[in-house]
Amino acid sequence: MRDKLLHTVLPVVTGIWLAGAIVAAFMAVPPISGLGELGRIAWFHIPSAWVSVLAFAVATVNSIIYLARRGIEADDRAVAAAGLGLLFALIATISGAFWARRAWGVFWNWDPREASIVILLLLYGAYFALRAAIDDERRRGVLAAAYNIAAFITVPYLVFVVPRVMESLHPDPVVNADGSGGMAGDMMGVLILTTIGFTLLFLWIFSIAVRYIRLRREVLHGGAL
Amino acid sequence: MSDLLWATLTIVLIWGGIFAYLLGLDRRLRRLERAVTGTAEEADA
Repeated sequence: MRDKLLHTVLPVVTGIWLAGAIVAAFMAVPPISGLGELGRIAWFHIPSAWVSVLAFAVATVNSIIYLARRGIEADDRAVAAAGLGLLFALIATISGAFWARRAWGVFWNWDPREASIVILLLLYGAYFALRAAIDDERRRGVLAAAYNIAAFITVPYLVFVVPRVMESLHPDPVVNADGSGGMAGDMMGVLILTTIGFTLLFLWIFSIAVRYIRLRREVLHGGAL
Repeated sequence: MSDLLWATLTIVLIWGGIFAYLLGLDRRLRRLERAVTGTAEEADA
């Protein structure tokens, strides 16, 4: 039952859902005021940022489980989730830079949100550098889990606090057709569609990544699959 | 066709490519898992 859900239902639902969400993002809502068609990048940029935070949270939960029980499967899940968090944070950064080019005239201007995401990328890049530096599986798992938990403490601060307490050009309230503040209902609908689609995509890739890591460990080091 | 429709089709096609790649990866991984599990079972026997 669980296999059928992972191998059949999840891919099919993700494929259809995201295709529908893409069509809705282009055809169902007008362009965002002042940004033209390129403003539609928001419908993919915001879900990418959301999924990166979700993935870092999943990685942290699994690091805590690993420290508590020392089961290597939890470490596998933490690595897979942290890697995906990094990937989606990178997608959010690049798509955000294109948005910035259209809205602010430059790809990068060290806005608090831009600085925050660079720090996040460096923090989680260091997680993988740390893992690569330790050969012993158990020692690597424990140190990486402890680092991962410490790294996640900064996520709420960097993602939610810094951009709100510092002056930022990043748009929170102006993503609508007439620029009057708040988000129009149809735009919010599209954002919810793409966010659910990206979350499904994360779950699917996460399941593939965890299986790949387990298989790789099995082939390289032996042990129960 | 309008530019917007072309853009939509292009992005849907790109998503289709990513989807097909992930699906292929999933299938290949399942085959490998079966092969490794089979090898382990043979070794146990």
